[in-house]
Amino acid sequence: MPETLLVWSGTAAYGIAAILTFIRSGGTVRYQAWAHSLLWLGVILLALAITLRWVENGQGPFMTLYEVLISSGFSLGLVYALAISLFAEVRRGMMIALPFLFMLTIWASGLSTDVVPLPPTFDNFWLWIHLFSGKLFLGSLLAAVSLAGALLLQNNRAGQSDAEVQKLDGLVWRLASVAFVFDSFMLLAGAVWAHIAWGRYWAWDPLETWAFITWLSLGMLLHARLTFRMPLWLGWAASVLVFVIAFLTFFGVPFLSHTAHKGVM
Amino acid sequence: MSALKLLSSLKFTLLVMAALAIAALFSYKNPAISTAWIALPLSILAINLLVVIFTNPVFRKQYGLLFFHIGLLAVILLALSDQLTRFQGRLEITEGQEFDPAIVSTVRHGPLHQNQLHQIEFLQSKVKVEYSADGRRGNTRSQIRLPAKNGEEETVIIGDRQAWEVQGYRFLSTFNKGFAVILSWQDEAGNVVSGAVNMPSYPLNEWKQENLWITPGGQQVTLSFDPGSSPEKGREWQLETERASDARLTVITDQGSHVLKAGDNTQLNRGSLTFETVRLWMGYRIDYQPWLFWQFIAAVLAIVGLGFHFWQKFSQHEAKTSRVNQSAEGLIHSA
Repeated sequence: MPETLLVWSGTAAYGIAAILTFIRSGGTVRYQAWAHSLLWLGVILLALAITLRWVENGQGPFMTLYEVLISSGFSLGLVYALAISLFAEVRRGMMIALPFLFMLTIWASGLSTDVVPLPPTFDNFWLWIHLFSGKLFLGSLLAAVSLAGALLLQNNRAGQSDAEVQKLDGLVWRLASVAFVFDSFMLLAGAVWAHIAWGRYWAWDPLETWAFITWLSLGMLLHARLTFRMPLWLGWAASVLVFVIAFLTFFGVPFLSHTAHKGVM
Repeated sequence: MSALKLLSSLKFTLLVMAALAIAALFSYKNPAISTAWIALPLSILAINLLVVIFTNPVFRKQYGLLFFHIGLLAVILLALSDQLTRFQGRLEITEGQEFDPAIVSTVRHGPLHQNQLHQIEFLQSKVKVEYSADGRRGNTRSQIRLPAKNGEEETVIIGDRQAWEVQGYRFLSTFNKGFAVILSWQDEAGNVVSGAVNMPSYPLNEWKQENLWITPGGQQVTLSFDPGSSPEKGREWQLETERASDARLTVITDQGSHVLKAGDNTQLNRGSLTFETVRLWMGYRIDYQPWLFWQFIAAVLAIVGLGFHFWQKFSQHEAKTSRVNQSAEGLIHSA
């Protein structure tokens, strides 16, 4: 019960923060600092919910969609909050990132909280490395894409110099590049983990296939930026598309397929 | 555009990457043709990369990026070597039985794999598998004995995460294990032969501990096994031979059935069958992948190269931005 209460409270914190990002005065978000504080509050509440569940069940939140959603709500929120602390400009994407985080947690709130045991062979050091790098990948990509999305949605660019737009664009690509490094590491760690857990490092199961396609899409995007003189909006739109593929890989494929990877992130 | 120019162009790279993504998508819809689908664009990408390395001096000067791409190339080549030389097999062996390569079932066998299984010797010893109160399988401790060296016998424990490596082969225990009944057959001339019949995996198939068996006399019988004790719900337990100290074996024939305890015998067509004792059989997975470690190293170095490339690029960008800001501030002050 306290776990459910904490998840709901975290969801509420994300929800209110998301609403605050839409209240604007003079073209800027009026309650940006409040939204950032509520984001941190949501992260802390979800961390407490995960800790409680972990202590009670003796295993991490890896198996069910509910667990994956609350752990992603926490970890992506944390990475995003840290990204804001490192690069203040990332705040511009809050109106996309916060509703996204809210959506993850509200989705979790409607799901069964039943525990599915973690097989002993799954529980090894590389699972941690795999998950850690996976969360860092999606968190960095969320920071990049929410900024790209905000730039795309910004109709009125009055008062925003070309140099400023170039700087923000540079930040989008910088975060996307960081995401690519973590994505590469996630694939490597996942392969080692799969080798220990199932005796094969790569078998083209649906999740592996989609994880590879996500990595390839991001790699193609970074190559395309070097190859073509893409209009800025096209690059931003393409990065949003890569995020959609990553989202489906993380939250769709593992729960639709019937392979050993099912339910395990 | 010359062929070399085409092969070294980034646009061509993008095209082949897109083809690879489509091939990957097709690979799990059509597993039978997956290798060819993936191998073709991967090979073209490898050629594209090699041409870029040799023809593009700007690319060569970006050491991190170069390292990353060479690492990727190494991963592809090592994966190919792995496919050619790998071996994957399964083994079911009973406590007290000596390892024999003939009882290994081959799952995958690369065309260049040189089978060395005949050089491996061990005797399967005691097996213990822990189960938690909620039925979760815990540690497996499968003990094997190696041939004595310098008069000292060596024992090794194999588990799900504790491999035994010998001659490049890696043995790991699996969830697959169960009871084996040890039987003796005495024919009408008085000749005796012994062997084991493995029952289905336990406790996975606890409800159906049965197996068909043809006696050396040619009679088909059904062997139904009852270990004498069941795992108690809500209590931790261990799977080991001792759990079956009260075991019963029912031998079902067309004429009727005979319930035997350890040591009992029954008369069948053309001989007599003795139920000697119960042991556990253990299922192992055997892998031979000599290139796997190097694939891992190549992948790690590739990612380190990629990280270094971006770090270098961004720190240069930061330094440049900071210089521009400083000179702008200088201009403002002097004004």
